[in-house]
Amino acid sequence: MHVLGSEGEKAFLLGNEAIARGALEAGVDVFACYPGTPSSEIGDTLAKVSKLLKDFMHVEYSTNEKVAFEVAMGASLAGKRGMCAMKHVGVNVASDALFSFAYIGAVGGFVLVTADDPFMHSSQNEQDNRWYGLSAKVPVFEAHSVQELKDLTKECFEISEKFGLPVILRTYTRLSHARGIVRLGKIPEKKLEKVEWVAKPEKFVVLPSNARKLKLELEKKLKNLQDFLERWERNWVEDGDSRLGIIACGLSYSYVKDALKRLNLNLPILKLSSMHPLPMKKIEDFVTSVERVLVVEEVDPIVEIFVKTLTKNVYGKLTGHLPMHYEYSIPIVEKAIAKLLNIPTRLDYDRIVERAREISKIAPPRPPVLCPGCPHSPVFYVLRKIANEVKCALPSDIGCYTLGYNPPYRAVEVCVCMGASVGVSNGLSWVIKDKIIATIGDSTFFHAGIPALINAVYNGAKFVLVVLDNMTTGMTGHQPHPGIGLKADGSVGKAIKIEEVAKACGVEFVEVVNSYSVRNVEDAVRRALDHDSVAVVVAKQLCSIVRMRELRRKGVKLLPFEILQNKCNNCGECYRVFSCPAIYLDGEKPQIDPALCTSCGVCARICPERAIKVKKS
Amino acid sequence: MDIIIVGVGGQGILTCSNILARASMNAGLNVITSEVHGMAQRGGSVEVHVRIGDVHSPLIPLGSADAMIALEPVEALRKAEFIGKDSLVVVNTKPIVPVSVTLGLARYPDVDEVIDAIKSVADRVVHLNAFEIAEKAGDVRSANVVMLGAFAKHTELFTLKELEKAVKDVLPEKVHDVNIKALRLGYELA
Repeated sequence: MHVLGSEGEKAFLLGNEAIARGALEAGVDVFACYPGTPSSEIGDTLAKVSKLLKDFMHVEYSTNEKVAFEVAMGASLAGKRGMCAMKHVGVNVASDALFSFAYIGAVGGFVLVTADDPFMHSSQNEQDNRWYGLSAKVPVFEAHSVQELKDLTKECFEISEKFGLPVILRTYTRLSHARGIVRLGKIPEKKLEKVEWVAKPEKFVVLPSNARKLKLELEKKLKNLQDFLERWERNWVEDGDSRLGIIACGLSYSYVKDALKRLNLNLPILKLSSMHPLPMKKIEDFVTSVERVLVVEEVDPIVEIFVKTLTKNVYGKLTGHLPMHYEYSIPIVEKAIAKLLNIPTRLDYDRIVERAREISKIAPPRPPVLCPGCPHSPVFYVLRKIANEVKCALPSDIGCYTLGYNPPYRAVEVCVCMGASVGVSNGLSWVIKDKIIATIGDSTFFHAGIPALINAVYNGAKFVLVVLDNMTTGMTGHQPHPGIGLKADGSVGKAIKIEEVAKACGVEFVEVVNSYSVRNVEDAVRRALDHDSVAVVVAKQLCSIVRMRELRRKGVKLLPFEILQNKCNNCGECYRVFSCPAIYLDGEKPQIDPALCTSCGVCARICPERAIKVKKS
Repeated sequence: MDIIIVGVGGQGILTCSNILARASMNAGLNVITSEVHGMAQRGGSVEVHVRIGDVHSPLIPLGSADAMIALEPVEALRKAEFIGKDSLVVVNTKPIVPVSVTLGLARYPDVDEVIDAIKSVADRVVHLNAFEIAEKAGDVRSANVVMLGAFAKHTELFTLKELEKAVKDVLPEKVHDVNIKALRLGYELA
């Protein structure tokens, strides 16, 4: 594994692999995560490593981000090094623990990795998680390159221990999913050895009387850290020959460097990696050494607001020189600098975009789609059919199946956050006249669906919950979850059945159907709709990517389906009502691409003419 | 040297960028690549930026790619904002028709129309049916490597030999033969 290369070697690492390597070099003892793009490969890498470096550390996929945070927190409280990783919105789930853990403080090094997603490449919002640092009084760090990301990860553990604080490492899509050359450090030879529990109830129990004392200690710790950060080597100044200076935060430093090169400029730069606390003295020195300062940071103008307390001559998002939305790039930063210096950008970027937009008009849209053989497709096909007859509200949730939003299914009408399908259905059931069919994935059900389901049983809300159980966490790269009973290190754990959980929650109508059996799915959902309290239908079938991978490994050759052209009357049911990406139009008539067909047989089941059969080889 | 590779999820675009990155590392050059995971993998449009040399940031500036390798024709159009007059554009002419077309919501243009549109932006456009060439090499899945071969012929960045070494460094041994063949055929036929 290239992430396990030896000290001094150069490896080409994904940003998330660099974080994993940094954690290994720090000798992390416990790592926990709930997968979420763009953070997932941190856990996936450490999970793979845990199979090779047995006893080095404990790695787990937790049921949700709050649990993952608490798992790592437990390790820290016992003096061990703990780390958790999540996408930015995952921190919302974990934040309850975050705010109070700040008061208690870290014993063993504790690092929370938040992977923010400017531009929302695969997220529902682009929240800036540096605010959590300010609000929860937790230090926040950012890196400008994959190399620094690796080094900084390791250093975060040291800072956490030195100052007794949990630490947030903020990364983003363009760093987590960038690859760069990294010079590797040393992974210590160690084993995770158990220690005696040292109880410190006056510190670990946040009763108000304790919390009041802890708050004062926290303020002191942050002050000490701020003094340290004034001299910290990752906050540095580069001299220049202009009265315009730039404060470049984390990855934005890389855009600034490239933009200045394109403009042939040499401006003074203050590069910052500590986002909270800010080295205010260092910033003040820098600001007074220039006339004007441009602050470059993604996503919100946080540093800019602080710099504004030192000088009026600060430019950035609040002045409209940089956008308040989406991710940065070289041209965006170049434009801001050029505007302040009243010079042209290297190229006319607006014209380039305009011309490209013009010629790309003939390109048909290619949104992401559910895969060939995806077990969610037949369920959505059924739900659309039912919703065409009986007016229904169709709340859904976070996962691959959110793509059920697209035509032809249009079976996702609400999607907010993990587990909200069930919570929203509770609320809808008290106020709308229509039926409600909610959809939620298996991993999402375990993550945040259960409390809202219990709520529905307890309060008597009435709706149908269809659990789209594809036996994996599909969207984020097929991580196992409690329903499967496989653990991160590949060992067997205890599988928890969704249908049994639903029954134990008090749901009376619980049925399990095979997602590919369209008729059974339809029958179960229709009966569930007639049931007089909350009803759960578990539509179960292995994710087609995982299924195909397993079959390939076993050497099983599947026989693809074909459309009998003499029987097909081109009604469109298989490609226009049910939408399988393996079915394409060859002229007017549909054909099945044998290279894409997964032999799920759903098209054959729904074909009114019975014109689809297994291809005879 | 900035190279953008575009195509559809599943075409082996990351393999392409990893091979180019390896060739860069073998030549002692700095390299940064940038990709997007998650939603983008589900049969959607995929782009990878490969930046070689004295660069800091992961994204190619608009209009400034030295080369574009398009594994699918309309994907070249979709990312045309990254190319300019001086860009080399290598296009695979084999379309992958998106579901929007099958559903009757959009039309797939003639490939000639696509090539003409690209030519209106970039002067150097090379097109080939990498799918057919990959078939000749023995595996249609090697179309991505065919495209690298075609790219190698029109650039001075890497020699064919250097790319052959990178292909061997990156790919598992059992697929070396077919991919080296694909690379060479791409080079010859482009």
